[in-house]
Amino acid sequence: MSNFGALKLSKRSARVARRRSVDRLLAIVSGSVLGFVALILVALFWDVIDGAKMGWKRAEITVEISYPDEPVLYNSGPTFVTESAGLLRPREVRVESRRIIRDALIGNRNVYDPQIVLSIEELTGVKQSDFNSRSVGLPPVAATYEGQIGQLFIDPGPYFKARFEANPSLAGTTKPYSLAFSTDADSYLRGFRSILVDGSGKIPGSRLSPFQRLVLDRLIERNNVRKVWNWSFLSNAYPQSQRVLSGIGPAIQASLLMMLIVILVSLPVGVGSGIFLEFFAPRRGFWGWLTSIIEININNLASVPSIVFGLMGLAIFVQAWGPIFIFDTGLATPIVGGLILSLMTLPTIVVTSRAALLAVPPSFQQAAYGIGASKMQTIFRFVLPYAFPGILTGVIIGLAQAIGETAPLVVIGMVAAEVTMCREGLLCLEDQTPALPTAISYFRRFMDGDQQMVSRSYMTIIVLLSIVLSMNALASNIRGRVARSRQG
Amino acid sequence: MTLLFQILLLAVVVAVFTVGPYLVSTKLAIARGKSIQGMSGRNALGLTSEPRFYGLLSIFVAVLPAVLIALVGLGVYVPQQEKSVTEDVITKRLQTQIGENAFGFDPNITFQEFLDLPSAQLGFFGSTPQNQLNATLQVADDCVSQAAKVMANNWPLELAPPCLEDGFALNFFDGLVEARLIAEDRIINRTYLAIILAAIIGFICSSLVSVPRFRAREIQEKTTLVLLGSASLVAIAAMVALILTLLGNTLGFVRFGQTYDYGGPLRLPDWAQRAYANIDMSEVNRWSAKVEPSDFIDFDAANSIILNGHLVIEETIGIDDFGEEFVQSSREKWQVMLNDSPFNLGLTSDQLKFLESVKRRGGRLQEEDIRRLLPFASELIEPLLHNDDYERALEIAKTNLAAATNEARAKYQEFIKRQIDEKGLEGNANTLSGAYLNIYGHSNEIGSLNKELVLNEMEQRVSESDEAFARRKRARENLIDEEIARAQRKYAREQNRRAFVYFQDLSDSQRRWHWLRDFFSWDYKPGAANSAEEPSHRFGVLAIFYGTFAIGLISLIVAVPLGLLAAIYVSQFSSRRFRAIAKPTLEILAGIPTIVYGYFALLAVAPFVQSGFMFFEQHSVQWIRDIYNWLPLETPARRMALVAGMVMGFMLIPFISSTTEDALASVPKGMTDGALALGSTKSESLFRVQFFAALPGIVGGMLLAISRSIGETMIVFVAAGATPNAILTLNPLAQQTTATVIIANRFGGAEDSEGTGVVYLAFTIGFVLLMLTLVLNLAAIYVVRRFRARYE
Repeated sequence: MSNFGALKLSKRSARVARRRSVDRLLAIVSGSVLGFVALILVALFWDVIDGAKMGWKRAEITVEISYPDEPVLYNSGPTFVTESAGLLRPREVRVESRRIIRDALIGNRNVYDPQIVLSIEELTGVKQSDFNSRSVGLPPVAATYEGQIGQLFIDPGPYFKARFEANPSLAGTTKPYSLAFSTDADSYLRGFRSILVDGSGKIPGSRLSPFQRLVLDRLIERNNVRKVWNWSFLSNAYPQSQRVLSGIGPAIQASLLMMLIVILVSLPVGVGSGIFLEFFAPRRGFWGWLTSIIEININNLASVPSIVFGLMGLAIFVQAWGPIFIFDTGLATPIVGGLILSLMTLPTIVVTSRAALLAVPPSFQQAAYGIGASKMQTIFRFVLPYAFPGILTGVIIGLAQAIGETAPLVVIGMVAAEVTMCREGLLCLEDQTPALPTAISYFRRFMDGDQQMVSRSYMTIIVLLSIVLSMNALASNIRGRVARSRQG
Repeated sequence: MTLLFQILLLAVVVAVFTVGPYLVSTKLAIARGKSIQGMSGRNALGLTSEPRFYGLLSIFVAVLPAVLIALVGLGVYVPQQEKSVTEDVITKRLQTQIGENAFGFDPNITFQEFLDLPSAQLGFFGSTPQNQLNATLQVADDCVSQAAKVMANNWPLELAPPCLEDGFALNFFDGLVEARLIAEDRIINRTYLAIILAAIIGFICSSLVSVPRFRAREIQEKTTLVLLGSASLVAIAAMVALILTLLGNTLGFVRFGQTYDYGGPLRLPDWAQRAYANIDMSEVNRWSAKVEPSDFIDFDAANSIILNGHLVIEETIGIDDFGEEFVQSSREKWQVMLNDSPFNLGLTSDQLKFLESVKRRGGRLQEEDIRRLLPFASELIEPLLHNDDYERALEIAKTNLAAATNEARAKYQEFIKRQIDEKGLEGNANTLSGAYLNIYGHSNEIGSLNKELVLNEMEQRVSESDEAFARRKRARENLIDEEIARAQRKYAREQNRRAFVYFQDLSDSQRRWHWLRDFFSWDYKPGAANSAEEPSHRFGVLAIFYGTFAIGLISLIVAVPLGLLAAIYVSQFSSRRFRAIAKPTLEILAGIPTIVYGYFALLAVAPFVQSGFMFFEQHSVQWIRDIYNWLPLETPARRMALVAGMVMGFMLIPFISSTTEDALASVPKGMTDGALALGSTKSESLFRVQFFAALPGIVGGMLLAISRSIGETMIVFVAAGATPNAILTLNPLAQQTTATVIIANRFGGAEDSEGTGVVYLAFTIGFVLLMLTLVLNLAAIYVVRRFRARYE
C-alpha cells in the first residue's frame, strides 16, 4: 500500500511538475515575446538614427573672398529655379561667383592664402597665368576647370549680392567666407554612397569629374574641410536645387500652426463637452437618449479611420465651406489640416477630460456646495483646477497623435506642396504648405539613388519622433507626478 | 496690418456702442430703483419681470447701432481694401501659375514686380509683361466672343474655340478672373464675418455689462451652460457631417454608375438589343457618303490657286481691249468653274470658321455635329455630286483659253504688223513703245508688255488647278472607303451609346441596379478603357477590399499572439517595478506615427526579409527548397504585403496588449484566487478561468485592433507599393494595395488620369470604411458592456 501511495505521490508530483513546467514555459515564451517587442523598438530607433546620420553635418571650407570692385556684377537677375514634377534643373553657377571661388582657391593677383591655395599646375597641368589672364579672355580649358570648381560649391552669388546691397563699401575688400559644398561634393567629402531604393549602390562621387575629385582630395589632404552641424535643415525650405540645403522649415511652421488650431478649436470644445457630459447631461427621457447617442458618437469618432476624416475635410472645408469661411480654405492649407486634426483629436480630449473630472473626489464638490457655491462655480473654481493636470495629459496625448497623423493631410494634398518659408503671420494659414509627416513622404519622392535625400527623410522622422515622444513623456510625467502627489 | 486695422475698427465700434447702452441701462436701473424704492421692497430686489425687460431692451439698444455702424464702417473700408486684396490674391495666383510652369524666374515676386520685370527675363512671354497681359486679355476676349457665337448659333460645344480648351493664355486669364472672384468673395466673407462678430461681441458685452448686477450671474451661468451643451453637440455634428458628405458622394457614385457609358460590350437584355437594332443604318451610311472631312484638308492650297486664278483674270481684264471678248468669255468660264467649286459657295465667315475648326480637329466630325449641320453640309456638298459638269467646264475653259490665246496672239501680231506698215517705223523700239502707248493709252502699260507672259501663266494656273483637282479626286477616292469604315465604326459605337441612352430612358430596375452588380464584383478597372473591347470604369468593391483584408490578416496573425503573450507576461509574471517600465515602453510603440512605421518597413524590415529569403533559397536543404520552388512564390521585391502586414502588426501590439492587460486585471480577484486555491497552476488559472472571464474585453480590444488595421493607410502606402490597381493574389511577397491606399493615391498620388469616377469611388470607399469601423466599434462596445454586466 505504501508503495502504491509513494508511486501515486511520485506520479502526482511528476504531473504537478509537468503542470508547473507549463508555467515556466509560458513565462519564458511570453517574456521572450516582450523582449522581441523591445527589440523591434530598438531596431526602429537604431534604423532611424542610422539612416539619418548623413544629414547631421555638412562640409564647409573657409576661404578669403575678395569682393570685386563693382557690386553690379552680381545683379544678374533672379536665380531661383523651382523643382517641378520631379524635374531638377540645377541652378546655373553665376560666372562671377565662379570666378570668386576660383580666385579664392587657386589664388589671384591680390589674394593669396598659402594655407588654402592649391597649385594649379599640380592640379591640372594648366599654367597659373592661364587662369589669371581673365582680361584677355580665358582659354577654353581653363574656363571648363573654372566651371568645374564652381560646381563643387553652393553658389554664393545671392549672398554677395545681399552683402553688397547692404554695404556697398565692401567693394575691393577681402573677407573670410564659409563656402558650403554642393551636394555631390559633400557626399564625396564625407564618404557617403548614394543608395538606390532597390539596394544597389553607387561609388561615392560618381557624378564628379576626375578633376573635381582631385580638387576635393587636395582639399582633404590640406585639412581645410570642416564639418559643421547642419542647422539650416530646421529653417530652410525645400526643395532646393542643392539638396544639401533643403530643410523642413515650412513643414515645422505648418505643423505648429496646425497644433495651434487644434488647441484653439478642440481644447475648448473637448473640455466643454467633457464638462457637460459629466455634470449637466440629462440621463433620462428623450434628452437622456440624445446624451447616450452623443457618448456613443464620441466613441465612434475615435475609431473612424483617419483618411475618412481627410475625405470629409476635403468635402466640407475645401469644397463646401469656401464661400462662407473667413480664410481661403484651399487644398493643402494649414487651416484645413488643423480643422481636420482638431476633429480627430476631439474624442481623445473628451474622453480624457471626462476621466479626469470623474477622478475628482466627490468631497471636493460637496465642500464647495457647502460654502454656498453654485454648480457652475463649483465646477469652474474647484473641480476644473483639480482635474487640470489630467486634462492637460489628455490634451498633450491628443496633440501628439495629431502631429504625427499623415493620411488626412495626404488627402487634402499636403504631400504635393512645394513652398518657401512664409513670413506673414496669420496669412500662412492660407498658404499651401507641407506638414512634418507629409514632408517625410515628400522627401521619399526624391530619394532615387541619393542618400542625402534618404537622410533628409530620416532626419524629418527624428524631428517628428522627438516632438511626439517628448510630448508623450511629458504627459506621462505629469500623470505620474500628479498620481504621486495625490497618493502622498 | 490690414487685419489689425480691421480688428481695431471693430473694437472701437463695439466699445462705443456697448458703453452707451450700459450707461443708459444703468441710468434706467437707477431711475427705476429710485422710483421703486418708495413703493415696494419686493420690486427693489428685482424679483419682478421688469428688469429682464429692461435688460433685453438694453441689449437691443446695444446691438443694433453696433451692427449698423459696423456695416457703414466696413462699407467705407472695404472698397479701399478691395484693390490691395485683389492684387494680393492675383499675386498668389501668379505665383502658383509661374511655379507650375517653371518659367525659370523667381516665383516669389509680387504682382507689381511681375509687371515691372524687363522683357528679357521673360523668355516665355517674349514681350513685356504688361503687353503680354494685354495680349492675353485680348486673346481671351476674342475667345469668349467666339464661344458666345458658338453658343448663339446653337452649334455643338465641341466647336468652341480651342483657346477655351488648351492654350496657356486663357488658363492665365482664367486664373486672373478666378483670383479676382476669390478676392471679392473673400472681401464679402470678411465683411459678413466682421458684421457677425460685431453683433456677437456687442450682444455678449452688452448682455454681460448692461444687465443689472443681480441678474448677471444667472445669465452668465445659463450662457455658459448653453455653450457647454453646444460644445458637446460638436461630436454629433462631426459624425453627421462625416456620414452626410460620404453618403452624398456615394450617391454621386451611384449616379455616375447609372449614367456613365461603360464602354466595352454592354450586357443588355434581349428586348433592349432588339429595340436598338432597328436604328436605320442607311441614314448613317448616307452621312458617311456625303461628308468627307478630308475634302477640307487641302482647303488652303486650293483656295490659293483659285485666288491666283482671280488675279490672272483681273490682270488680263486690265490689259486687253481687243482681246476683250475672249477674256470676257474666259472670265465667264472661270466664274462657272468657281461657282461649281466647293470652295466658293459664298460661305459666311461663321461657316468658314466652323470648317476651319473641323480642319483643326483633323477633320473629325461627331455624329451630332453632322446631324445638326446636315442642312449646311448638304448645301456644302451638293456641288461635289456634279463632278462631271465640273470637269467638262474645266475642259471647255481650257480649250477656249488656248484658242483665245492663239487668236489673240495672231491678232496682236497682225495688229503690230499693220501698225508698222502704216507708220513705217521699222526697228525703232522707242517709236514702237510710243505707238503702244498711243494705241493702248487707256490700258495698263506693264500689263500690256507682259501680255504674253500673263497668258502663259494663266495656262499654267489652269493646269495647276487641274492637277490639284485630280489629286483631290484621287485622294477622295482613296479616302472614301476609309471614311465610310470610320463612320461605320463610329456608328457602331454610337449604337452602343444610344443603346445605353435608350436603356437609360427606360427606367427599368435593371438600369437602376446594374452599377450595383458591377460594384460587388471582382473587377477593378478605373478610368476609361483603351480599346472598345476592354471594360472601363469598373469599381469592384471586393477587389478593392481584398488587399485590406489580406494585409489586415497578416497584421493580426502577427499582432494577436505577440500582444496576448506580452500582456500575459506583464500581468502575470512581472514584478511591479518591471511593469512600471514595460507599460510605457509598449505605449511608445503606440505613439509612433504610422508613417515612421512605413519607413521602418520599407527601409529596414523589407531588406532584412529579402535577404532572409535569399539566404533561405541558397542555403537550405534540398527538399525544403523543392517545396519552396513548388509554392507559387516569387523572389520578393522591396515592397511586399508581408512586410507591411508585419509592421502593421507591430503597431497593433500595444492596442491588443493594453486592452488584454486591463481585461485580465479587472477579472475579480476572487476568481483567480479560487482557482489557485483549488490547486491549479498559474497558467491553468490563467487559461481556464481568467482568460474566459476576460474574453469579452480581449475580444473588444481585438475588434478595435481590426478596425485600426482596416483604416491604416500610411504603412501600406509606403511599404506595400502604392500601385493603382487592385492585386488579387495570395502571394504575401507580392505588392498589395488596400482600400485606404486607393483613396490616398487618388488624392496624393501623381497621376490624375482616372477621371471623376475615382473621386466618387474614393468617397464611396470612405463610406464603406466608416460603416465597417462603426459596426466593429459598436460590436466592441456591446461586447465590453456585456462583460461589465456580468462581472461587476
